Amino acid sequence: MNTIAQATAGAPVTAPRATVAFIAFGRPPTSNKSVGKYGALAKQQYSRLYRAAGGAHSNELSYAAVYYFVPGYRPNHDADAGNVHKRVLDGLEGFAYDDDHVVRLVTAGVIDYGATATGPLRVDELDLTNVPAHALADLATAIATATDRFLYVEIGPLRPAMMAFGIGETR
Amino acid sequence: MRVEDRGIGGIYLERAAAEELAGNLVKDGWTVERESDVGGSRVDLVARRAGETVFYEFKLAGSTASPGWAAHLVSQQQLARRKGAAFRLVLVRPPRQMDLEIDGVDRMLFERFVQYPPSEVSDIAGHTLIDEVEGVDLTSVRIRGTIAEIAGEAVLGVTLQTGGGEEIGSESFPFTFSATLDLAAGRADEVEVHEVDTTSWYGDDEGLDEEPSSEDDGSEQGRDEF
Repeated sequence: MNTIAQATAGAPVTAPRATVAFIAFGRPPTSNKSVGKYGALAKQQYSRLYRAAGGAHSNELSYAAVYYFVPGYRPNHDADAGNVHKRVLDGLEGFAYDDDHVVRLVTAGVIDYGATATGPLRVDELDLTNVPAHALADLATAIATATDRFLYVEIGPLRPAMMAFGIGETR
Repeated sequence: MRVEDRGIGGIYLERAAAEELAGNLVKDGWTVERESDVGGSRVDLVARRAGETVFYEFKLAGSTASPGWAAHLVSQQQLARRKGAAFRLVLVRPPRQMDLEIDGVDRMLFERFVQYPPSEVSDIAGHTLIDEVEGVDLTSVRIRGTIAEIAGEAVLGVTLQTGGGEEIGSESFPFTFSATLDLAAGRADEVEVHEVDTTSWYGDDEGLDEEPSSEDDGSEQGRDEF
């Protein structure tokens, strides 16, 4: 069984990478976006945002966090958590890395930041302590509009401690 | 956040949420301070326990924030980091007022679109087959006798084909609309589609005028020729 350290040693490292984050407005691309000119346009969008955020090319093993913010999530209208990251990571191939196989850990989630449909008053906490400074203003602006769907995408170097188990038991 | 930016209802809800959160934190052994002055800045709520500190900022979800709110949030995070505290944004989500349904409205819209598909969708491919209308969520209803004037959001499911009939794939496009329904006849007499969200297909508008590189066009050429 390969450990992260072993895999790191075998990976073609080109440059160390700082954590980079950006906001992409709109819905996550669908699976059909992998074909044709629209797949190319999705690649252009994400690569442009990645580079604008200061992202560099590196084949260092990486983690990614992709959160889909939805003002009023409805399962029939919006992608589920399992479908929010794949095309984004595909789209960064050639710009953030040669192949998204270097992304060994992905955290993906759906964050409903609209009025809840039913039930009592809800209080949802987002821990923003470590959002990179260059992305926090954009994230705050996006949340402040309160009307748009958008993706928060974060990519950085992988550390073994990131592979968390028993997540529900941690504070 | 400044009080005047969120209205009386928003103030009440944010305070209610702060009280609820503070109560839960105290039960868990935290000491809490509301509207705390930290280095000259006001923090909505500060919680401390065993050397751990958390700053909380509250925002009423679904409400547009003031122009300076984003900068305020950044300054709050930076303040928390300087003080060795965690920083959490609390989204306060008020309950919706009511649910309303009109039986068969999805079918009525579907039958209308089979005859008159929205141009935003029909222009995507050589052939666009309307599969279904689902997830109808009404935002406005006015009923006079058997005539209902409605507005809302829904999702249009389609199958896309090339001009030669080759299937490209299935897609779902959310859209907003207004319509006049004849409830007695069970049909939509008029449907106006205001906006079709095709971002899942087209992506960001920026770059749509740019041609993809020839490298990208290569092997997929056949699938581009819709």
